[in-house]
Amino acid sequence: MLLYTFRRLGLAVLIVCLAMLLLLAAIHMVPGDPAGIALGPRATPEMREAFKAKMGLDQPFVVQYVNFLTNVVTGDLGVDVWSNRPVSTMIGEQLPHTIALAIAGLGWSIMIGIPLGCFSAVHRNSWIDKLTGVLSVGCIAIPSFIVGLYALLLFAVNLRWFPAIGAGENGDLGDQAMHLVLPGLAVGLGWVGYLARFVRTSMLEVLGENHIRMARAYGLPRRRITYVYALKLAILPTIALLGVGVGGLISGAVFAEIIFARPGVGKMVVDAVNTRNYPIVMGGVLVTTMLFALSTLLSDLLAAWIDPRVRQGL
Amino acid sequence: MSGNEHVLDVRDLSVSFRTARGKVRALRHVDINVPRNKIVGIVGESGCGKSTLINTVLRLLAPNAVIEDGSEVIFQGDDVLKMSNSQLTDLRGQRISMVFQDPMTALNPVISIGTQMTDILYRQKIPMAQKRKRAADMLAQVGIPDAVRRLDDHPHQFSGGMRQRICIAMALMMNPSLLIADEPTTALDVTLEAQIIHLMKELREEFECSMLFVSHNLGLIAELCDEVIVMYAGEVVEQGEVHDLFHRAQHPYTRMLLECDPARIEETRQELPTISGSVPDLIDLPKGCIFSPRCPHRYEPCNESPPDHYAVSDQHSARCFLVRDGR
Repeated sequence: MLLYTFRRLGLAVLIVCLAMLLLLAAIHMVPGDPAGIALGPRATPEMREAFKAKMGLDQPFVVQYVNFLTNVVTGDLGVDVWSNRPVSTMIGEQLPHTIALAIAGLGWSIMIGIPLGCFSAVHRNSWIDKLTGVLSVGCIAIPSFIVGLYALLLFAVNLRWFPAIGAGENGDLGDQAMHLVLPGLAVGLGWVGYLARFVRTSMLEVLGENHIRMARAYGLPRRRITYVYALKLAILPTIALLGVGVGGLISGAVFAEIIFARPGVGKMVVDAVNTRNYPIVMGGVLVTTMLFALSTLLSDLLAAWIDPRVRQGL
Repeated sequence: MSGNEHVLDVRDLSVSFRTARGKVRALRHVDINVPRNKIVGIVGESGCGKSTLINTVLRLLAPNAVIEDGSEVIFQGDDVLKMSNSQLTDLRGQRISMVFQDPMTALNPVISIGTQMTDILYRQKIPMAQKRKRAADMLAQVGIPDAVRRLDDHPHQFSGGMRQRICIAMALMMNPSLLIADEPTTALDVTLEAQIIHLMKELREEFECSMLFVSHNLGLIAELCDEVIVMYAGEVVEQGEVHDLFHRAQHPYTRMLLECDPARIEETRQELPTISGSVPDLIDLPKGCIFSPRCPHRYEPCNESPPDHYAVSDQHSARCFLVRDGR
């Protein structure tokens, strides 16, 4: 397991480095001269050269890439164009909110989706299974901003169960958790349906396998067969799906962040794009990429922890 | 237990499956019994109802299966077909146990051998350490070296033969009265087959359980079993003591099966002998003898009505008009 963890960690670092390479290449491929844009049309060629030398833009691509890498490793993501604050500090402020929202969305979908899927599989073709099927597809089809708006209307405005906007008082964990419930629902509801369908399918497949028949022949209790013997196998594809899905969850979080007026990396990046604040856009994209690599890493490690066969794979 | 000398008595068992095409009558009026401390073999082609039979005994049938009225499966005096779910849980693994055909898929790949084995002992209120000791002892008994250490290994760390040994150990964990073996060696190579059969023979004597051994390998049946049941298309066509049946096979199907056994072929030839034709459609059954469409000896009575079981000797009967008419 330890060896697997190290190998998988190495792979994750490699993925992030490659993503950074792509990011840098993408910026180079965009037409236009950054010095010209930054200094305006009236800048002299000398000023541009000086600017380029200052920013290291006259260096070859490889050197720029290495500089980029070293800066990121030392935590230097550049400076906000407008406020001159370091980007890393700004992202550091927003990141916990984004991660909390992603976990809340994930929590909703896991807590409802997985048991629902198991239940449907065990009671296959019953009316509850069919109802679950319809509801799940419904959950998948409804866009998250609609869920967000209606959740806001129903639970925050009419029923007043949960607060409507913001992220809660700093340092008050209970308040912050209350502020997460509705945005989490908005982000996670689509995944509830997705997971319910997905778990049902893999569960049905596993329940038909020989070893389940054998466990039944040995008289093991039904609950233990379903929730340990079958679920432990059926959950594996779901874990892989979630690892990739968290990336989508983070980008889908933008809507929830806007509707519920929450701070978050997604909202910050959108604002930065609107104001052409490139260091923040790059930093935000980079951090999102890292989160994505981290979530796939975690899901792979979790899968390896559950399934001993995976550990030998990589 | 009462003085019943049969551990298992299957009486007039008929099982059908509801399908889109109609009712598949997989088993029809099957009567078999397993005497205490005996090994009974069941032979027959694929699709003859062997698996349906053993699945019925453990009540592990698919949801679309219908057990027809009048069927009885008496195990140690209790009718399995009338058992409640809790009684069934009590029966499975504890009083009747099973070894499956394919050891490669029979064990849960993500749960350690030790956990899978001790889970079977969930009914016993003894400390975990004691359960693990029992599991390790069983593994050692079926010939797994270094058993204590290997309890925490997962199935993929064992070879096919080892896995089947583990399955056998698991089946015997609760000291069952009846062990059902569903083609336990089909997925193994010949050397392993011999080892496993040897092991099963040894263990059966030690654990004093009866055994229902399903196979299409006639050689194995002859070597291992005390009694043989030949099944064809959902019916028992011949049954008897193993020696008697193999040497004085009466039913044409049994005789043809014996001729097809590659181990018995004496002359050298290019092609293996086969029984021409195929198993009849179990939705639309022929009016007469079920085997008549493929039978080289069929004559007038065969097409009119199905034959009864006719005694050949005390222990030996065949479902064929040839026996009744002495032809």
